[in-house]
Amino acid sequence: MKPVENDKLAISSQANAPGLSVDCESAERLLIYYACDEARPEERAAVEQHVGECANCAAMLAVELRLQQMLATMPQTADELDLAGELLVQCRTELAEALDDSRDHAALGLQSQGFVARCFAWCRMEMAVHPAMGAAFFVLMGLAVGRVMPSVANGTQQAGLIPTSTVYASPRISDQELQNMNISGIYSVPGDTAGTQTVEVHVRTMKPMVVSGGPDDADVKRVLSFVIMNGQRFDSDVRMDSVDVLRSRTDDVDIRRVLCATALHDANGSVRLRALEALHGFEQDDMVRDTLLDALKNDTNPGVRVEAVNELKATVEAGKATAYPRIAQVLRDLSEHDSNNYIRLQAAAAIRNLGPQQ
Amino acid sequence: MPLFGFATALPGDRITIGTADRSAQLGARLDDRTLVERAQEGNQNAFEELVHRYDRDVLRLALNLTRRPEDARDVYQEAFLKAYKNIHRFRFECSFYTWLYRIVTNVCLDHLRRRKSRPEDQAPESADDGDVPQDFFEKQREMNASSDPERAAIGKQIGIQISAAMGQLSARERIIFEMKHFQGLKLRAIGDMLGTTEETVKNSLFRATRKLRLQLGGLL
Repeated sequence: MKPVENDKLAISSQANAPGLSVDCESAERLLIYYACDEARPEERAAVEQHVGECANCAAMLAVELRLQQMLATMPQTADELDLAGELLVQCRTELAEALDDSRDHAALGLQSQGFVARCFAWCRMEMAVHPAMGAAFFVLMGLAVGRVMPSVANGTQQAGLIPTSTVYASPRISDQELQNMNISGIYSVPGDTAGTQTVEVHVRTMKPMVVSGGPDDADVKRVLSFVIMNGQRFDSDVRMDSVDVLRSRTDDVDIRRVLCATALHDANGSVRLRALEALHGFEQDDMVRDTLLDALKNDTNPGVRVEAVNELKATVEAGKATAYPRIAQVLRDLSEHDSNNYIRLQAAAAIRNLGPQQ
Repeated sequence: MPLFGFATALPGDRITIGTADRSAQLGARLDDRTLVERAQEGNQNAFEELVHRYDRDVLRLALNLTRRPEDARDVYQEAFLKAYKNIHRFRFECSFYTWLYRIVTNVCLDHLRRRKSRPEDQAPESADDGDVPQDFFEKQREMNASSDPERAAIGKQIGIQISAAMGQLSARERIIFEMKHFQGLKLRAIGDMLGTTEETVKNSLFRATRKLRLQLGGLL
C-alpha cells in the first residue's frame, strides 16, 4: 500500500476518537466524505471546526461541494440512452424468453442427465446471455449443414432409407396446465379434406405440447378462450391469433361471450377491434348489441369506436334494431355530444334511419 | 373461467378475478421474502415479479457503466439469469436487493475488465467525421443543447471532463462512484453489495473523487 494510503487509513481510524482534530493535510479526505454526506458525526464536527479556522480548506470544501452539485445535475448516460424505456422492455422480453428456456431444461431433466445434455444446456444458457455469439454459431451451423446435407440426402434417397411417419398430437390439457401454460405459436394448416382447416396451438407447459384440431375442437376452443380471457398473461399477437381462429365459431354462444368480453376489456386496441369485427353478423344478439354500444360509449380507441358505430348504423339500416330502445338513446346522445365528428355524423345518420320506427 | 375480468394470481395460486394490474396487486400483497420463497419453490412468475421490482435500477447502472445499450443488455441478462440459477442458494442473510446487486456488480466488474482487455471495445461508439465531436458525452450534450448557449457550453465542457476522468478510474472505483453518486446508495450498503468493508469503499471513493477533481480542476 502506498504511504499516502496508510496516512488516510490512520485518519479514518482516528475518526472514532472523541474530540477529533484535523490538520490541512488530513482534511482532504474528510472534506470529500463531508461533501457527499458520508462523514461520521465526529468527523463532521472536526471538519466544520477546521474550515472555520482555515481559509484554504474552506475553499477546498467549496470545490468539493461544487463537484457534488455538478454530479447531481449532470444528465446520466442511462437517461440519454433509454429515454423512452424501450431498452428496458426489450431486456424484459429477452429475459423472459431465456427464463422459459431454462425452465424447459429443468422440466426435461437435462440437469440430471449425462455430460452431453449438460453441455447442451450450457450452450443454450450461453446463447441466451450472448445472443450475438449464438447467432454466429447458428450461421456457421447453417453453412456447414447446407454443404453436407444435400449429398447425404441424395445418398439416402437413392437407397430408399427415408421413412415417412405422421404424428398426430391430441393431448388433453388439464386445468393446472392451462393455468401455467405459455403459448409459443398458433398456426392454421390445411386439413385432410378440401376446405377444412386444422389449428395447431403450441403450448409450453411443464412439457411442451401441441393442441390440434378444427376451430370447433373443444380443447382448441378452451385454450384459445383462456388466452384471450387472461389477456395480461399473453402477448397481443397471440391474443390476436386466438381471436382470428375463434371468429369462425361466432355462432357458438360461448365464443360470442368470450369475444364480447375481449372487445370490451382487452388492453390492446387492435385486439379489441378484431374481436368487435369478429362479432359482425350477430347484432341481433342482445349481448353483442350491448357490447357494440358499450364499446362505442366507453372505448378510448377511436378505431374501435368507429367500428362500433358503423356496425350499429348497419344494424339500424338492416332493420334489426327495432324493439331495442337503448340503441336510440345512445345514438341520440352521441349525435349531440360526442367529441368525434365522424361518430356524431354516423350516429345522426343512424337516428334518421331509426326515425320512423322510434 | 372468468368472463369479464382477468385472472391475476401467480400460477399455482388460487385464481382471483379482477381487472387491476397484476403487478400492482402483487406489489401490494407480497413482500420480497414471500416472492423469493416462491421463486425458490420454482415459481417463475414470482421471480419475474422480483425482476420487475429491481430491473430498472439494474439497467440504469449497467447503462451508466458500459455506456452502450448492447453491453447493458448483456449485463442485465447475465445478472438476472445468474440470480435465477442461484436463487435457491439465497439464505435471507441480507436483503434480496443487496444480494441481487452483489451479482450485478460482479457481472459489471467482469464486463468492464473484459472490455479493458480489448482496446477496440474501450471507447463508446464515436462518430468518424472529423467535425463531429469524438466524445460520447460531448455528442449527447450537443444533441441536448438548450437555448442558453453559455449553459450548453459549460455542460459540454463538464461532460467531456467527467467522461475523461471516469475513464481514468478502475472498474471497481467506477462502480463505487456510480453507485454512490448516481444510484444514491450509502457507502455501507455499497460495501455489503461488493462484499467488502465500508472503510475499503471509502478509500476507493476517495481515490476516485480525487482523480475526478484533478481532471476537472479548472471548472471547479
